[in-house]
Amino acid sequence: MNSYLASILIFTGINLISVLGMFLLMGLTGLLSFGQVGFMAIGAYVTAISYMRFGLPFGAGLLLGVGVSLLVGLVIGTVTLKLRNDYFALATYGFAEVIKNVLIYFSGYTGGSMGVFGIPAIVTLPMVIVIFLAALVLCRNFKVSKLGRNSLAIRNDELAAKVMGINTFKQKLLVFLFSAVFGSVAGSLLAFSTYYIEPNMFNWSKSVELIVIVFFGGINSLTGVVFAGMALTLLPEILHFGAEWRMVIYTAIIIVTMIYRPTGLFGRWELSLSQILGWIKGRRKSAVGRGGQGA
Amino acid sequence: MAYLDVNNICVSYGRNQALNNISMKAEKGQIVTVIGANGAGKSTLINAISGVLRYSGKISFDGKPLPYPAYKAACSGVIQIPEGRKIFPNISVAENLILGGYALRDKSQFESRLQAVYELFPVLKDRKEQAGGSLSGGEQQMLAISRGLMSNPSLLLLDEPSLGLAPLVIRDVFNLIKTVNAQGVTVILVEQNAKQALELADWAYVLENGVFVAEGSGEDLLADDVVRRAYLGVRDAT
Amino acid sequence: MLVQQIINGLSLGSVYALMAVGFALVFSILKFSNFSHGSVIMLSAYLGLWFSNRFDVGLFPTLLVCMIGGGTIAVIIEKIGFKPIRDKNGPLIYLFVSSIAISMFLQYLMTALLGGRFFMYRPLLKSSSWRFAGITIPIVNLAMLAASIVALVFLLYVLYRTTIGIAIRAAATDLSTPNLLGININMLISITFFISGALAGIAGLFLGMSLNVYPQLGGLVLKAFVATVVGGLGSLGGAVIAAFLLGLLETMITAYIGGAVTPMVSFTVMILFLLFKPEGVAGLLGLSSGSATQKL
Ligand SMILES: Nc1ncnc2c1ncn2[C@@H]1O[C@H](COP(=O)(O)OP(=O)(O)OP(=O)(O)O)[C@@H](O)[C@H]1O
Ligand SMILES: [Mg+2]
Repeated sequence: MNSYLASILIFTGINLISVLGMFLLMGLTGLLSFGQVGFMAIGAYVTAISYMRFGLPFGAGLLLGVGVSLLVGLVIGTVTLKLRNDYFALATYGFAEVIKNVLIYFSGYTGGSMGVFGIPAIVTLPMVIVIFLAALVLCRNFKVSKLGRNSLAIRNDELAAKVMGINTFKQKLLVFLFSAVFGSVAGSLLAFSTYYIEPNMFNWSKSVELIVIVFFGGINSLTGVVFAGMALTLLPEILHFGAEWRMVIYTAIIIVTMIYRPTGLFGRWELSLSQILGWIKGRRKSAVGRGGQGA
Repeated sequence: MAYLDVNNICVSYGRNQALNNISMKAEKGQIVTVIGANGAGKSTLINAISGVLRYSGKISFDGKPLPYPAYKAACSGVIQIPEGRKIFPNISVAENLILGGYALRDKSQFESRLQAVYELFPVLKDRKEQAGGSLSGGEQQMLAISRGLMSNPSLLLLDEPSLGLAPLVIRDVFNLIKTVNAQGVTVILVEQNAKQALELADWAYVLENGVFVAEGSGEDLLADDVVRRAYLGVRDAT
Repeated sequence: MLVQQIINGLSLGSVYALMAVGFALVFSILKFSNFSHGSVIMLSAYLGLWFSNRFDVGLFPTLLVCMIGGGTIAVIIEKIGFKPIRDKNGPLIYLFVSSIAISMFLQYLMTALLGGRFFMYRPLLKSSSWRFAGITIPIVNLAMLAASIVALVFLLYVLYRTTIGIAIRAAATDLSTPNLLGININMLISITFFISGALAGIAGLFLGMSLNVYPQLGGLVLKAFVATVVGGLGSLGGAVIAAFLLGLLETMITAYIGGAVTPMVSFTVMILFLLFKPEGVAGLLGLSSGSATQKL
């Protein structure tokens, strides 16, 4: 495969892993977070520094990154998830900014705003695909499990969910940690596929991009979010006329979707494995999707 | 043609049809009452007439089609006093009344309207600097009615003004409606409090599940067996 | 030195206050955080730059054009980006996401049209700084402070002394009842956006004059976001006070500790505020108006 295409696909896969975390947090649980990029940064820097400085293997560094993210997520989550949803959104923005500034400020380890250079490209496409599929299966199982239903209950009406006996704080914390892990893994993979990392790669606008992808696909549809993630990551690469204009078109598409199809492109539609098998066998009548649960 | 002429209107919320071919009339200067149980469609009817909800069919007022949406209807003299009062709790009583005068076509009338309202409810004058939300339930209802009267309406639509008030206060509210009516305002009064509402009515309709099942003068309906059993039975005990 | 920093901090705070009030005004009636407010600031800065160069005029005509332009842009954004969602009764979070998408769109659009470079205003004021008893204060900061205070006082007048202003305050607790009194609620919302945009126009001009004009200028709306939250969402008074405090804090930290830690410290302060005083400055001072349970 040509290496340009491979690198685009790797980048798309990594983005998707982070998006899946956002889907759990925002699509399923209704928590708007600008902090996803912060966990990507933690994953990327911990893995990169422990490899470059301490000779830790990539896999171990990735796990270390996950550990650190969980720890940070636990602290941040415990503190902020008791807040109202809009305050939570702001606090997570603050978190992402603080992480970025810590990376700039403690330049002894992080290289400051220059970042870390010369990271080997260990990450391969099959590796990304395998991790993405694992994350996807995890997400799908989460969605259809009791945990997923609890999340939906919180998204629809947190007070009612509390009355129903759901420990909403614990549930939100759990989902927050899940999304932190997804973000961290995506960050580690990113670091080892781009040769260098710098704090500016982890701007809050990156989180916004992830949020927009979830809305574009549809907060109720895992399938939609995956397709949206592919489309919106690949689209800028495909729309090759003038790099400046592609972002204009990309955001215009998002606005039009928000206005004319606010439930996202896919609404509640979900693709299931049996449908795919059905198509392969040529039985096309099962094309009507299963609805998601709950309104 | 009657002053207010509601002709075969239907309203639905999605698939749920709340009003089904409703026709009603009110002559100038009358009090027309609509009684019905919870969920009968009373508020829906009031909201259709005042232009809050879309409807099919025709409504004419004073010989012309009634303007839609609500703010245009209000500016042409059709004012709704909504269920649950809906006064603005965060602004002062005086400011509530200022907003009530928004639809006045002749702004120079504002001061005289205000004086008239303060005369009707001296308590509002005493409390004019107080936040609307700090008034008692009865005072809030008075404020809601006063706010509606500020724009000098020709047709007043009242949605359950007695809701949640003590019997004595209810009596005051109904007396007030009579006073306002005597000053020439046509009144459509929607109530569950059937007895008192019917006593007031020149003409009345009984609404059940989105259709009128009976109509007649207030006295006739008060005497009607079916109405007595369904709407006056228990509550008549007073 | 300290006096100088305090005055500079207050002028920075006054621009934050203009942004925050516009932001809080829209929040108070539509209950969502309108990030497109930043684009209005950014576009107004470009507009003022173009106008003052094209017609070779001074501060006041430019200020006027920025206000009218900013207000108009805000209304257009409302009509295109929010009204269709409101008409469908879409959840508030859609309005929020739409506002983010719009701000990204406009930022990229300006980048595509004019490039990411910085444009500088030619001097609109006669002198550049004011010396007094050993302190030196940029004139633009004083103009900023004066214009912001005048605008805020005027806003107060509109909100408390005019029928439309009273209606805007009433709509903050109830968006459906004004209709029944003959008030066209869509017009009221447009007026609110116009006022909010006009304030953003002033902020855009002064930010452009002191920081130059570039597509990411609108990112400063985050300061407004911080100020409105610290102020107590929806409370205009709280937002103004918090904005001034934020301006002072940032200036002091930059002057005495160093610019690199400024964002960190302000965010720490904000998060501490959220944790220990979530009802914001407004709650602290008993200014809080609406309910504290508004969702995004
Ligand atoms: N916004 C709405 N969406 C869907 N259905 C509605 C809505 N509002 C009312 N309905 C339904 O329409 C019917 C009539 O409602 P309406 O509010 O007109 O009744 P009502 O006679 O005013 O009752 P009440 O005495 O309780 O005020 C009810 O079955 C109600 O459930
Ligand atoms: Mg009702």
